[in-house]
Amino acid sequence: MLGMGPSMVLSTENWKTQIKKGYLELCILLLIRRYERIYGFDLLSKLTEADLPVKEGTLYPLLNRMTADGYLKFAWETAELKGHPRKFYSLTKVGEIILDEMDEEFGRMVQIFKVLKKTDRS
Amino acid sequence: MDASSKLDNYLSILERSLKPFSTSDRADIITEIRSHILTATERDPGQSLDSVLSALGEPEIVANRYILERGLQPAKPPIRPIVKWLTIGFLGTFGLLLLFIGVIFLKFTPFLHITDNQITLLGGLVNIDGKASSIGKSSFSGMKRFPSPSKETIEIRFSNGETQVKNSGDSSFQWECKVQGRLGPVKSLEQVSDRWILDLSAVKGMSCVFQIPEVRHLQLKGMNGEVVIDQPRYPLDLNLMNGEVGLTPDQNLKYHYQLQVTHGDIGSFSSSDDPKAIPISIQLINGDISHRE
Repeated sequence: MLGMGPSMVLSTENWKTQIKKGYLELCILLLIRRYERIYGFDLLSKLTEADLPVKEGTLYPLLNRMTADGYLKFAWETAELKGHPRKFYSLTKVGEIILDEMDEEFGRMVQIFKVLKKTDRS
Repeated sequence: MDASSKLDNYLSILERSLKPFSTSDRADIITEIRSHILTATERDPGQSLDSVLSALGEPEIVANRYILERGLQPAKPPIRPIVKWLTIGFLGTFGLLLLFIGVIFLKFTPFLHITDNQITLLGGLVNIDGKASSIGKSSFSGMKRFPSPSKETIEIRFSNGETQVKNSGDSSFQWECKVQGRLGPVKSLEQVSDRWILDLSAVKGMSCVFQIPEVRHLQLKGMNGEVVIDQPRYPLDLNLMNGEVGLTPDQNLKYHYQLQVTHGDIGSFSSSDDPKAIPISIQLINGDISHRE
């Protein structure tokens, strides 16, 4: 490519990381809505299955913040399970509203992207 | 460390690093992380606790992520002991250096002092008087011309030090002295009746060269030191309490010696009874009188 010096890093990893930050919350909210109530370890598994792997040390702090923001609520369940308690997350009403807004905004961005991507310059 | 201890240790560090959170929030976080770790090892028994903890990350870093997500101020990483001790060592050394500089400043001030005929540096460590300069020494000198032939008596009084007595070869009486350290006030040559007195008894630790003309009489009175007399051409009276006297006679002259040492030795001197012989009287309490060539 013209103008590309030898020191240029040919990588989109940094861009991917930035993009991920934006829609990870959207994806988490979508998954919690889908499963209605889910605990952290399972949420990690579902995200990995969706080809959106997230590190444990990143997910739990994010869930903690989204809970503090009022998007999520939780409940500890231990009765039927052996040993340790597990924290199950579900959407609050605020979380439902926020998810809808994020969903709509993301759709709009996808439309913009499609328009910009058109090869037709007319 | 067994698995249980490792887990407890990890969670303990995580809990300590979550200081900005309330007690209940900290407990909540610790319980959730513990649950994750136990679930991970249960779901995959082949996975070791170390790998689960490694996947989570260092507890301090995990705690900082919690803190940053909530918009709080992250905890500073603990200072490693070696860093702490290196810092203490550096500060201690720096403090000693400041103390040393302070002592130097106090001892060697004023750094520069200039008068009409003398420059003093570093509080007197270096004195430059225009004639001579040496590190750590002061100096003074003088001269007096006498009529020739002279009928004067010269009396030199000193306290301690090294004294060389030479012939000036003309009618002048000259002296040049160096003193270790600072020089206090020096009496000048004064005339008392027919005698000229140079009183240097207040000067400590001097090293002087006296050049004597052909006078009627030379008197030297001192406490301690070394006196070297070179080929005297004048009657000499020397009184010294402690020290060494070295005398080099002029081979062309005759001397009549009166040498007395209370505690010490007298070298070999050939005394003459010729009335024209120059009288040399030396009285020394402790020390030696030696004949020098």
